[in-house]
Amino acid sequence: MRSLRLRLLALFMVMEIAVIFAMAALVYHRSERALFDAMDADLASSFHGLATELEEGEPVLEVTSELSEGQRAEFGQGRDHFYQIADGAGHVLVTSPSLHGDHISLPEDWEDDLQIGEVVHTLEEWDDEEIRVATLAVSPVYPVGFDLNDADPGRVSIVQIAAETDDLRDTLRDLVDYLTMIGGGLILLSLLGGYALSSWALRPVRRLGDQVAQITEETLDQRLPEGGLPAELRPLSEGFNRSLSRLEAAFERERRFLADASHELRTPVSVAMSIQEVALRHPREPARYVEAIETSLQASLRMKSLVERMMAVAREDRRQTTLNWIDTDLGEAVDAVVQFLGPLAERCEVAIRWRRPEAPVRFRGDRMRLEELVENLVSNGIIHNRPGGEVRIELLAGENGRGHELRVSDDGPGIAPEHIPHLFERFYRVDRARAREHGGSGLGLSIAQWVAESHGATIEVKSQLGEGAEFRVLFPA
Amino acid sequence: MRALIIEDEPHLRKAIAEGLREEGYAVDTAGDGEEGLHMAQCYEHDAIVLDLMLPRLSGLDLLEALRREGNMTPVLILTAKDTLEDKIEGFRRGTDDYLTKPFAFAELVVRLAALIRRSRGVAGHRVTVADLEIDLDRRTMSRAGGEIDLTATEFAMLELFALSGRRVISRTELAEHLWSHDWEKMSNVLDVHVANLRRKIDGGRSESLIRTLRGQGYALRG
Repeated sequence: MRSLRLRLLALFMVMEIAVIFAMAALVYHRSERALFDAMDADLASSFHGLATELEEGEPVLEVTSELSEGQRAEFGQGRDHFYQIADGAGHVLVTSPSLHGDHISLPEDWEDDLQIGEVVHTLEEWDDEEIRVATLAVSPVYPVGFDLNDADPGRVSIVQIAAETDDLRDTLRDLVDYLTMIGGGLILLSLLGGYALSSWALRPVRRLGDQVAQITEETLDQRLPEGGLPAELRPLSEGFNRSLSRLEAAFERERRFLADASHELRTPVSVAMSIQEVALRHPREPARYVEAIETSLQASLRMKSLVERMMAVAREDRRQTTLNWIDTDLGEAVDAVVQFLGPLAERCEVAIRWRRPEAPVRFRGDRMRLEELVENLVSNGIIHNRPGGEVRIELLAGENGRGHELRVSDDGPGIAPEHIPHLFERFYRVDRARAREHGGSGLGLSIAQWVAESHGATIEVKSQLGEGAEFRVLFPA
Repeated sequence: MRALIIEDEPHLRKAIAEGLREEGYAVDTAGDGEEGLHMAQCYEHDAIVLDLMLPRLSGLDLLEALRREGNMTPVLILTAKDTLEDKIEGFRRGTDDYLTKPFAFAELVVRLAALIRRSRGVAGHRVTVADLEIDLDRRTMSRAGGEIDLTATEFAMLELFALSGRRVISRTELAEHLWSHDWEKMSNVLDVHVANLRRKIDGGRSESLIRTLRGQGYALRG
């Protein structure tokens, strides 16, 4: 069953039915016992006179096959009881007329188990009817004409009184009907009640579901209520809200990224479009077409590099990039970057100051990514510099439990304090025009930050307006 | 007409300038906000094309400074910022039109033309003076039904007359609207162009539509 409610209800009903059955069975058996006890008491009272007579008299009593009027009155009390008297050998001496000459079976092992004055009650069958038999052990009884000299005083005789149980059984059947009615009613009632109750109990769940359903990608700022909920549901709501927060943040990052990316793409697209459109408006010299195509090619190349970097950032965002961990020498990585950025530094009239430590600076990480990190920091220092300025790179090997440290400082205009918190945001640029001239995409520092983080390193920025900037990468020990 | 383009992306600046020059505009350009503000203050333009994200001085601050000085030059913001908030802020600070990048150059041209027409109180793109008909959109002119071919410079002069009503235009004003500040204002050259235009328009008629007012300048009057 899929429905929690139905499952709960079914479980509840199974238990309910079991309880009702147990109760009914208990009531039935108690009633049966009580009824038989009453019947037995009734039968026993019939013995009373006879028993007294038999116990008080001589151990020998003579009986005829018919009881005297007085004796009969003692026994039957006018009711259609059966009775019979048997001697110590089990011979039935007297039977009531209602037995029509037949007799009632004797209890098993009566001659050994029964003491005088003791009564046992048994259920017997007579003439296909159930009868309740009370058997009383009495002093020996002998038929008329019996030679008392032959008597064996050690043996007891028995007197039995019986009655049909049909009235009692009818009462019990009525009780069963009554119990069935009540039990059935109870089950039906609790079925309805349980259904309503489970609906009521599950209402907060349904309400939560409705609220969840209303949340779309447009309304990710909505939250489920955490107060006023049953304690069992609060973790669900809280957990969902936490997920929502993460989802919202991810969506927001994605949205910002897309907005920023499309914004960045506008400029090269505008350049290419304008150049091409203007070139096509009027017929021109071939040389002018070449110029137009060259310029729009530059714009296209810029778009290409933007797209590539955006893809890189998007991959990093999804943590799809797997790092290739190897033991590497950070000095070697910086060397490679310095060589690679030489032409850019030359164009910008910036000198790179770098002395590689003599001993290798060992670090375990992704060599390509680490070079990317250094490259982004150094090219940032070159671009945000002044002609004739310097970019200084220092690599300090870690010692005494401290990790390695890479410092990249420049002679640029410095960074105003209000820009520093945003430096590593994607597409954030302090001086947009200047960065673009040299192919800056606004993604470099954000990529550097990502590489550092994925290696457990942190980047610190120190800068003041007019005093250049220094980036410090603190590698883990 | 004289336009000022303030745009920091050099290729885009160059492309727009070239395209507008071919449309008969005299074009000044500026690569940053401070330079742009300076040029807008020092020279009279018929329209300004303004980027918003500029080095040194933002486009919006530039615009606000211009408007505070009472500068009425029509401004068209040309920017990559395309949100509603950006547009509203642009108009609040005093722009007359807003075009987002990437844009179609043809649209920029017609928007600028419309801005200039409106700022000069001209209803449509057809202007009639006596039996002279000037189509500012198609850049053609006809007199008494006969179309007359004009060079770009000649039409630019005629356009200025057409957009100035009966007003007298000084030689300096004429030169300024025809050539951007980095061109030599050579009075001889100007005179030659005026003479050519007058000859083409009048077509041998004894009375010229382009009146010369001694010591003041020229006017187009029927």
